[in-house]
Amino acid sequence: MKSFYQFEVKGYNQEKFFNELSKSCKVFDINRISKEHSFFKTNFFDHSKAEKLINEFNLQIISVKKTGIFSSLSKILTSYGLIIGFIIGLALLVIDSCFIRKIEVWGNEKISDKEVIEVVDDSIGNGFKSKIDTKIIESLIYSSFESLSFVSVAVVGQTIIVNIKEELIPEEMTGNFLPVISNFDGRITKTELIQGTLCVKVGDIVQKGDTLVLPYITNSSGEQMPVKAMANIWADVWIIEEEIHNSCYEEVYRTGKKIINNEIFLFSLKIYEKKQENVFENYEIVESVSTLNKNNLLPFVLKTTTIYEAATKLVEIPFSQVKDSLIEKAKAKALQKVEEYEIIKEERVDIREVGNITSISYIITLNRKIGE
Amino acid sequence: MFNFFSEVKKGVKNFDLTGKYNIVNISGEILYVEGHKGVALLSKTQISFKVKNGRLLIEGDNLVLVELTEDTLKISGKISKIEAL
Repeated sequence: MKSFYQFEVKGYNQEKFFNELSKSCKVFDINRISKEHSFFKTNFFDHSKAEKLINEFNLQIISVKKTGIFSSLSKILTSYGLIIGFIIGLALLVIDSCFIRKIEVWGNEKISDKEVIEVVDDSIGNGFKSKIDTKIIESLIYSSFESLSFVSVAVVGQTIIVNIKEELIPEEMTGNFLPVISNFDGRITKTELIQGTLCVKVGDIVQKGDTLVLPYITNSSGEQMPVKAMANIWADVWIIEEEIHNSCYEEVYRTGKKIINNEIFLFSLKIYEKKQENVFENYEIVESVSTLNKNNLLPFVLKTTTIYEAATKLVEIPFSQVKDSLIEKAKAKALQKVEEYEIIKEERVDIREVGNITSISYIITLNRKIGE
Repeated sequence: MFNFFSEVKKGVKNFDLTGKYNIVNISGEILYVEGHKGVALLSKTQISFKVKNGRLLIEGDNLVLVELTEDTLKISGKISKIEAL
C-alpha cells in the first residue's frame, strides 16, 4: 500500500504551482473543484517539498491527510502514550534485570534441588544482583551440607547457578562389603587371592551361588577386619544341554469328518442359527468369528464352529533312528553358551534311558573365571 | 528495449522526432501525454497544457490530473474533445 500526503489548498495561480512542483516530485490526483480550491497528493517523503512550494506561491493549506503504511508508522512513532509506555516498559525491564529470578542447582545426586535453593534463597535477601556475594553463598552451602566436596556459585544473567559435587565415601569407610560368589557350577583349577578370606581351594567342586571369598581378613589378634573381597578364581565349568526322546507315544489326528455350525449375530443378538448335533466320540473344536459386511451401519457377525472328528494312533520311533540328530541338537544348544574366545577342554555325551524315555545330555567342559 | 512511439514513427518519412509530444487516448477515459511543457489551465471540464509549438486543450467531464511529472501527465475522466491550438 503506497503512502501519500493529500493536500487541500486554496489560492490563485495553481497551474504555475503544479508545474513547478512537478519539476521536483511526482504529483498525483490533482482535482480542482473550483478556480481557487483543489486537492492533490504527493509521495509520503515529498511532502516537505510541496509544503515549501505552497508557501512560496502564497497558497493556503486547508487540510493535510496522510495515508498508507508510512502514515500508520509515523502515527505510532509520534504517539506519546506509546512512547511513554515503551520507555516505562524499558525501564521496568532494566530494573527487573537487576534482580535474580531463578536458581539452578547442578551436580547434586543425594541432596535435593529444593534443599539447596532454600539455603540460597535465605542468603540472597531481596535478590538484588549487585548485593549478592557468591563467596558468602558458597560458604553457607558448605556449612549447611556436610557431604559436599566442592561448591561453586555463579551469577549468570538473572540466574544463580550452584554447582556442587557430593563426597564419594569409599566402601572401606562404610564397611558394607559383599563376598565373592560363584556364578557357575564347576571345579576350582586356580586361585589368586587379592583381598579377603579365601573359602575354596584347587580341586573343590562349587555350585552356582557358593561363597568363594569372604569380605574380611583376620589379624594376628584374631579380630576380623572388613575388607572388600577380591580374587581371581578359575574353574572347569560344565555347560550341559539336554534333549528328551520318547520312543513310543500316542498321536492325535483328524479323520477328515467334520460338522460345521453357523450363527449370525447383530449387535450381540443371535438372529440366525444352523446347528447339527455332535456325534463324534473324540473331536476338536475350532471357532472363528468374521463380519459379513464392510460397513459399520449393520454389523452382522458370523460365528462358525467346526467340529473335527479326532482319533489316536500309536507312534513308535526307535531311539537309534534319531540318536545322531538329537545329539547334534543338544550340542548346538550347548555351544551357544560358549563364548567365542573360550577354549573347550572336553566334550562328552551322556545317554540315560528310563522306559520309553531317553535323555541325551551334551556336556562341554571349559576353563572359565568365576566369581562376582 | 521496445518503444511504442518509436515503432509507430518508424514508417513515417521526413519526421523530426526532437522535442515533439506523444499522446495516447485510452477509450476516451484516460489520456497519457509525453513531452508537455507545463499545465496552462486546470478545471473539472477543461485541461490545457503547453507543447512544443503550441497548446493542447482537453475537454470533458470530471477531469482529474491523475499524475503530473515534469514532462508527462495522465488525465482521467470523460474525455470528449482533444484540440490542438
